[in-house]
Amino acid sequence: MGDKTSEKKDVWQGTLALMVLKTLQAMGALHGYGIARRIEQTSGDLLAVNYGTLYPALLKLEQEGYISSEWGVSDNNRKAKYYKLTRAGRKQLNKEEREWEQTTAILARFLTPGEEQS
Amino acid sequence: MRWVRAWFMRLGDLFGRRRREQELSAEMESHLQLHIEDNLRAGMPPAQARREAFTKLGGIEQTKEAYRQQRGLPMLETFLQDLRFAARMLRKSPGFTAVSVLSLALGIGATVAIFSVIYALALRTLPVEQPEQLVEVEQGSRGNLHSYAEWKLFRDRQNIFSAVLAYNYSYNDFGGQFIIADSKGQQDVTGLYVSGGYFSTLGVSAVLGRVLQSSDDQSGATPVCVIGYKLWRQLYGQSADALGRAIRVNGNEFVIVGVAPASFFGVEIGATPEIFMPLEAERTYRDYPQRYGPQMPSLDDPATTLSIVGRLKPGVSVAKANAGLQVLGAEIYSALSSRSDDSRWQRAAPGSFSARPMPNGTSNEWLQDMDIVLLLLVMAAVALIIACGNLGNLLLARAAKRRSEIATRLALGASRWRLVRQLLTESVALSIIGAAAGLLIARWGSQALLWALSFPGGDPLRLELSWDPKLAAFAITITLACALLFGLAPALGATDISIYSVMHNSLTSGTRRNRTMNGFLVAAQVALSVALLVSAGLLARTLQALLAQDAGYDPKGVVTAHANWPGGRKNAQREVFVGEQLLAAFRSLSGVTSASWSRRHSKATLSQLVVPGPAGSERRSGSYLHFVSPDFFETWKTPVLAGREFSDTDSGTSPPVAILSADLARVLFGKVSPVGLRFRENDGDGHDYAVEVVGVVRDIQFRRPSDGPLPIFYRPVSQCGSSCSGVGGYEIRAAGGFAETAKRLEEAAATVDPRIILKCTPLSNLVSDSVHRDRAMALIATAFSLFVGLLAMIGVYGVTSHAAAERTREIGIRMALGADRGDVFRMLLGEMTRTVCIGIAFGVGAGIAAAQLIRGTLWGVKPTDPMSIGFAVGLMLLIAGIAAFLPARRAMRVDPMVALRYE
Repeated sequence: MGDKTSEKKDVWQGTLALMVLKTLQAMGALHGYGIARRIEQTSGDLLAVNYGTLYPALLKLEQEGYISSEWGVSDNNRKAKYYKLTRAGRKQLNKEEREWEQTTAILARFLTPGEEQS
Repeated sequence: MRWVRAWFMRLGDLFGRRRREQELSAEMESHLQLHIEDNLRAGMPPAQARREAFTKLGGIEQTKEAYRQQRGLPMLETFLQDLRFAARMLRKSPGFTAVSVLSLALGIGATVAIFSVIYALALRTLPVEQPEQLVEVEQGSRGNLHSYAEWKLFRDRQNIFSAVLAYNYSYNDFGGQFIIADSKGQQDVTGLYVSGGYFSTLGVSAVLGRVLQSSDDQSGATPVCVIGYKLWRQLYGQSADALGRAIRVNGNEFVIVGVAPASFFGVEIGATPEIFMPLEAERTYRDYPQRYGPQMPSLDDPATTLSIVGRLKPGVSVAKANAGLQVLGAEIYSALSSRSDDSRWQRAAPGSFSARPMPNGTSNEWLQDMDIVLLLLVMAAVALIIACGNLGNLLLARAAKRRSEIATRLALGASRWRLVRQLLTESVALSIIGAAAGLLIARWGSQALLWALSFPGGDPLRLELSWDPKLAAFAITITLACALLFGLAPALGATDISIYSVMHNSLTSGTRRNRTMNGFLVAAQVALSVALLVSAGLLARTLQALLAQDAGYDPKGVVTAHANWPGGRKNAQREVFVGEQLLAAFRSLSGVTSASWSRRHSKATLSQLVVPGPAGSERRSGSYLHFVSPDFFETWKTPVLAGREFSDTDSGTSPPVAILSADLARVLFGKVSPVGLRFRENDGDGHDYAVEVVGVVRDIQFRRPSDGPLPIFYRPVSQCGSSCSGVGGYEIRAAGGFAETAKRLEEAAATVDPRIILKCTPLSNLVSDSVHRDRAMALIATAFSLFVGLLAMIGVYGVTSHAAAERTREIGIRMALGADRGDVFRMLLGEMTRTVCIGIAFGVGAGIAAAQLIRGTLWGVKPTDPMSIGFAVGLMLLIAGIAAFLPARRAMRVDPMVALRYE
């Protein structure tokens, strides 16, 4: 089972998970296709790879208890599986957001050293 | 800890697979529909909308597969999948499965059976509270044997242990057995005299009633006893009203106060005590030697027969306990050695004490026998190796058959590791089935082993054979080791193939190497079997030699009857009278050709015989004394070599006479005929007699014939005076079987006095007991080597039939080119014959080397005994011949046309 690809996917899934959680926080309950579209719209061509990669990530989040799923009916009367944030998911999102901000802040200092020295 | 939850969820996902699959399909479907609708709304033509949605998703199947990877536990799932596949494959070839499972079941079964016995003997801790705190108290060179007086001093003065106990086997006239009687009849059981603190020291409580306590172990206390679980079930059907009932033990009444737990057997491994009585009860009830009178019972005798066990205080080491014992030993020594009532105290006083941990209990000498344990261990290892060898062989054969399947799977992209895993799963599955069947065999086998190790007449050996974690771990380890070690090579071999060669139906590549490996395994199996067969033959020949040795008597048709008469304590005169009446009653029975009466000296010590030589010199010999009636040697059919047997004229008032055993006569008198000469007898108590020799008889072998004769001299029973205790025993030569004679003897005894308890045994038990150890070893080794031979037979059969099947095409070609059936037959057998002969050659060498290991046990036979070796080789050739002949004959009958179309 390809070792190299899985490593890459993990990195991708890490950020993907955060994006999924954030999307659900912003939009409320949403089905897989909707999440995919929303992320694509917000992120430009980042998810241009495949919508399919979203589903294992959703399953993982559900296994970890951050989101829950339920079958429902879409605006145009389609049956679809809707995902929504759980309480644990909300907490996790806050935590990850903070961590992400810290990381970017640190990186920002490295990447723009000029301001610091003056 | 999120991942824990995630793993549990994934584990849960293993179930309800179909529903989840449906749900996943539905989700994919709805995703696509939503996407297509979006696209349509955006103005795409339907076909493009559809295609775009599919492309964006990245393939339904790929997505599903990635999803499945996240769902459930793929490793476990593939394992289960492999297992299902393995089960299917095994079902598809029932012959292969049956042979491997049988072979593994026999191998694992035998190994576990043997291990469970060794484990019970040496490794299992006692079923008591904190057995690691228990120590045996040994003294000097004597070991754990103490006198009663010593025990009392020890118990009262020690402050080293948190608790101490003592126990004593009953060395009475019945050889350690108690005869217990209730309303339903009488039977023999093994029992123990125990100190009041026995049960509490061990931390064992009664399952019913109470255990013995120190107030029971007091002079004058009500005689009470605790009975074993087995006896409770047998006599009272586990009913609670056993409590308070009286039970007659050797004719004396004891009140039952409790029942010991089923798992409890004391501290001696292999023992089966079923009744526990206070030590002091012995004072009240035992038949004492008359000469001491009631004021000096055996408890006050310097005889050292008690064993002492102490429980270390928490945190106290053995070394620290030993330091305390040094001081205590000196104290007790000075107290005892200054006693003036009996000169023997000087010798009986303890040297120094030392403590020895005994968490696993003690076992009697015969069970500690290293030869037997060694034999058992070797057998266990051999059984396992041979069974595993069979598995390896069969797997190799199978791998060869499956080459094209494996090649196809490799070609389709399966990784080699994946296929090896699949093949290993199959061998693990086989081993597990084999082990499960083996456990049934183990259960039965360990019972058979116990039976072989037990004395034929006595109690069966009782060992705790139930499962515990260590035993289970052992079984699992050998099973998995067997599967992985012997499954790995075939699996690696099977997957190391060139797809090209298989596709071209090539006959070479892997198969030749497989055949070499097959040959090696078979040769090893044959060698091990032959080595075992040689050892078994040597042991059997030893037994044969021992039995062929003239024991100096003819036990056939002779019954020995030991009589216990409760009235004897009070009146020695009456005892003699009853004894004479019994002899008369036995003699008058029809069918009795001769009968005799014998009594033993009350002390089983050696008498010193002295013969004055020329010029003031002396010849001395220690000797055992037997008091026997006239007709004793007639009954035993022991030849009188010189002089005469005792007659009725030798009485209490006539001059003292004796008959010597041949060996003793030689020691005392040299080549001179001793008849008519005199010796002086000193019995160690200051009594000195001059005794005239009236006859010399052949040596009677009471021990293993190889141990040489015991020095014995016989005196007329009429002259034993007050030196004898108990009514004694009788030997009766009669027509008819043992059971019938015994019954008639009991009836005759009851007419003399209904209180007499008679214990009958065939005299032939004396012979079989004397060679018991040899018989056990010969029996176990023979049964086992035949069993191993059977395993080797399976191996040879499997390999030959595999070779024949693999070469069907080759055989066809050869026959088409003009080879006749005989050639084919010879070709197939020739290869196997070579392998078997190499195996046999190594096996004979190994067998002779193994004989060195058991040299101490062999007697009357050389390690290179041609009979044993010839038998082993012949049997192996026969076994291998049959095993190879059947498949070879099948191959010979192959029709060349069919064979060429094969595959």
